[in-house]
Amino acid sequence: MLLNWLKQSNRFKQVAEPSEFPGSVTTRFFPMLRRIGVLCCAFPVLFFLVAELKADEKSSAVQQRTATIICPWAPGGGTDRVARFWADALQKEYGKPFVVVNRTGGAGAIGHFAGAHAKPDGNTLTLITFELSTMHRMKISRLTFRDYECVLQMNADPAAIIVQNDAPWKTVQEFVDAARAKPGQLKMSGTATGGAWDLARIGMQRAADLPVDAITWVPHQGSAPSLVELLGGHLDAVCCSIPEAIAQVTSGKLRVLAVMSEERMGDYPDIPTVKEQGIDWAAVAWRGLALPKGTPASVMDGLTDVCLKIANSDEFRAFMAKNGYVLKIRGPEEFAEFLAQQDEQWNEVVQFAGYQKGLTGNNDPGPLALPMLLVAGLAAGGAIEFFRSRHRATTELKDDSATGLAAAPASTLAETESLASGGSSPVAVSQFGWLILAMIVYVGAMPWTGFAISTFIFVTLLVRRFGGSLAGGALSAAIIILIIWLLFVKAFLIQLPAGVLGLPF
Amino acid sequence: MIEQLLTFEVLVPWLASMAFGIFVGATPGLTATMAVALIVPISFQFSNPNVGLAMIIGVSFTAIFAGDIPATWLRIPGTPASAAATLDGHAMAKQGRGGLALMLDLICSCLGGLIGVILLILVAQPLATLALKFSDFEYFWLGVLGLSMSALVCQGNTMRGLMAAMMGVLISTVGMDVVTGVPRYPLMETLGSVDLMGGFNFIPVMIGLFGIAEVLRNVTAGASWSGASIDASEKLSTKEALRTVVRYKWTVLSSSLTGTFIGALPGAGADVAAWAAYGQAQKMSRHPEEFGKGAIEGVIAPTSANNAAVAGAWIPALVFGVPGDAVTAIVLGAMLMYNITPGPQLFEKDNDQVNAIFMIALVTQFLLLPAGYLGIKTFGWLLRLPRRVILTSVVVFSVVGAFALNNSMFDVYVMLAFGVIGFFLETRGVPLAPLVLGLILGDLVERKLRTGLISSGGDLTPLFTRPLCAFLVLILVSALVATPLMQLIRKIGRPTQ
Repeated sequence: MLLNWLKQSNRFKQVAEPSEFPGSVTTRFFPMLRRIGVLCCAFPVLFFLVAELKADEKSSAVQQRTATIICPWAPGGGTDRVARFWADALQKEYGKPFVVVNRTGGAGAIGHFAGAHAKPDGNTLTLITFELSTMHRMKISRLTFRDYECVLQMNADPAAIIVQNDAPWKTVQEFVDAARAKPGQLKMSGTATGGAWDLARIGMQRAADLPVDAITWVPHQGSAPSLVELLGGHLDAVCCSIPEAIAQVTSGKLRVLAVMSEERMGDYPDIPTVKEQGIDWAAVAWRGLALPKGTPASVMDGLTDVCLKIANSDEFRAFMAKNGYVLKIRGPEEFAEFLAQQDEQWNEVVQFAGYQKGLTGNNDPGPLALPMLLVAGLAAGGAIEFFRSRHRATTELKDDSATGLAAAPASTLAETESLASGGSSPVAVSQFGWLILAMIVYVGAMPWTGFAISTFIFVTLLVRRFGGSLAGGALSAAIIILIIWLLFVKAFLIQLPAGVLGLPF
Repeated sequence: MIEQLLTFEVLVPWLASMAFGIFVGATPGLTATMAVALIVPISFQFSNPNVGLAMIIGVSFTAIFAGDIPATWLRIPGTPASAAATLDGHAMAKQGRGGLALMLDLICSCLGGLIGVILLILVAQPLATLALKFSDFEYFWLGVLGLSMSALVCQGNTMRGLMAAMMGVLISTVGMDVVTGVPRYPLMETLGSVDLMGGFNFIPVMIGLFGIAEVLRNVTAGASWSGASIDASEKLSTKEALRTVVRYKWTVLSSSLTGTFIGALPGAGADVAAWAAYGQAQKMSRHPEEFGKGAIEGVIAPTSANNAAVAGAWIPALVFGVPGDAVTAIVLGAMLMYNITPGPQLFEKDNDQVNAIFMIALVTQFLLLPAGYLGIKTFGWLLRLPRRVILTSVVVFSVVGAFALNNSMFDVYVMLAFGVIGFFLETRGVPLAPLVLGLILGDLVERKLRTGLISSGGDLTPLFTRPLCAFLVLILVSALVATPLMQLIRKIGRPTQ
């Protein structure tokens, strides 16, 4: 089969490239050398693969594979920083690499989903966040905390109401009264609709007996952009945690009305709680670590001990304080209890808000408005273009003497046509089809063969197919894989598909 | 101050991180954000905060420049901010003037960064205050302006450009709704694909549209497989590049000013800045018809603007503690670790730390010259490899780049699919750059319009009556009308000549 294909490709070479190339001279006259060359080139690849395997063998059974921590949020954010701290700390404890993998999108649903459905062998941890308690209530995902084995909770950040320093309200009660007096006039933000801080303020409104729409929630992507809008005077208040706004609060631009914690916070003893002001409500955003459901108890217990040790270390304390998180350590059982309580608490808030039915309304044209507008625009544009190109085709001959600007579209059109005609010559079509097929097989095989093997075969055969020698192909493949291994796997700690053969990638 | 920086102990990690920045920027799929996120933990290993800050600042500026290198040679932008370099930069490369284009890129990146940093030092506070005036509707118009610019610059193909931009926005709507966070298309829920619910990330799409489509185009063009893929043998002439930059000094200046301002807006970044500057340069040019065919201004404007925008993004970060883009968001986190709390108080007194940051940012621009020169040289060397090896490597690196972004095979499939789509779109004469920008900005445009409407209670009048909105609309209308108007004037004027 392979031989047959090689013959064909040789034949093809003679058809497509009748001239001589310096690169292929060697291969034609020294077939022996070529074979030796292949071996020589394949050797380094094999060598470092074996070296990698050896290195793995040396370590104990638990430490066989690189472990990952799935972070459902983007690199650079707060959750990502926490995940990277844990990766570092666990790496020191276990002596094997822990890598942060950002699986973002879908309001956190994708990362949480990937984490819950990973192989339950203790090698994939998930940094679970607040959204896990609420997203199944809002039909974003079916996941709940019951799809995980909870390891530990690390923080609980109380929500707070923040206003401009010269705002007329001195207490939360005054703010609530203002909202009651002018329903819908006051604007708040802090997250997207249905996000942690939106639900926190709705819970507060529920406790204060204030209807949901008495305050307009303007969705923004997180507290930082919301604070910009507040500083610019486009919002009346922001709901977020105190540390998120502390820079602007200390500089005197913004002021905290109250915090939604059970008691005053140790770091901010001057800031009153909403409870003190007569609104019985507390809300926190939390983060924690979890393993997929079904992880063996022995693995789970070992990991829990290590994680608790890290969580109680001074470094972790210092890290959390510097990043402005309120430390709250809960072990597996306590954490699960807390999450069960959260599930109920937020269910009531979601029902009160009406979010279980969907998140639109509020003068929002809705999720389908823009796509429909675009489809209409594309249809109209397509129709115009179609008639224009027909018109142009008929008038082109007459208008041959067009100058500068008018000639521009004609020339692009001509280029276009030459491209299209280039695509229709039989040699080009076969090349095209062949390349697409090769790419599909290459990528399709990758999850099974692993990255290194499929790439080696793909590059070698592709270079061969396009007139190079097999040795040259193998050499290129070896060098490309070596570069990718050094830069992506070693420097960037990216876990390329490993395949079923047990190779590192 | 400066003598504290120019020591062996600072310079070595500084230059090393800049080399790292060149590599990351030149590799599609590895983003500047990723580079900075990775350099931050390394920078904490050094006890001297100047070393850490120098590494972080060095990476962010070099990565944006380096994105132009593969965009010029191979027509694959290394970062989204360098998509504009695939037009005139690549056209120059095809004419055998790629070396000159890149030298111009390098010098203008340095100058753009320099102007941006100087503005940061001199007028950070008033600029940041102006940037705060921008609210939802202003960002909406800014997004629309960026999209129209990218469509307009496709000479004589405005309609197809606009359609490409619309297609890009349409593709960006796949997945979760940006405002409510619910799955947008009911079909997707029934299909139950979690990956699809996350939507198409623009980086795999961009890699596919430019990288894979370019390989396919090369294959079907029936070019020889053994020669070098592009003529990179030209000697890099610093003198000629410098002379050219002097000739176009006003383009550099105006693009850098535009870039800095757009960068200073929290929510618009280097990618928008590059397109806005490109469109602006075209409007100001005496030969607008040469744009897209290797016009010098078309190379200079976007590259000056995107580096200036990197400096601009620092303005709201330092003045208000609010990041201008993802990169500065990470930097902000790192600064807190160095006990620098951003805010107006930073500028009130003569602060050693702030002065150090400014000095580092200034020196970085000069260090960019040797680091970038080496990057161009190295890349030029790689281009001497036979074409078949280059094109094969492009496929492999596209696959790795798409995968690395999110560690997901789904992104690889998306990348390949869009490679084929991009190839066919190009054969139909649909420009790809507006499509990518539509994909990048679609989210911003839709989100800002809808949040604006929620905020205004469904009232559309502020969309036109807010003073800044009216100003942006005016720019937009004049940009849309200018070209046809010029054509009309020329047509009328022709018979009298």
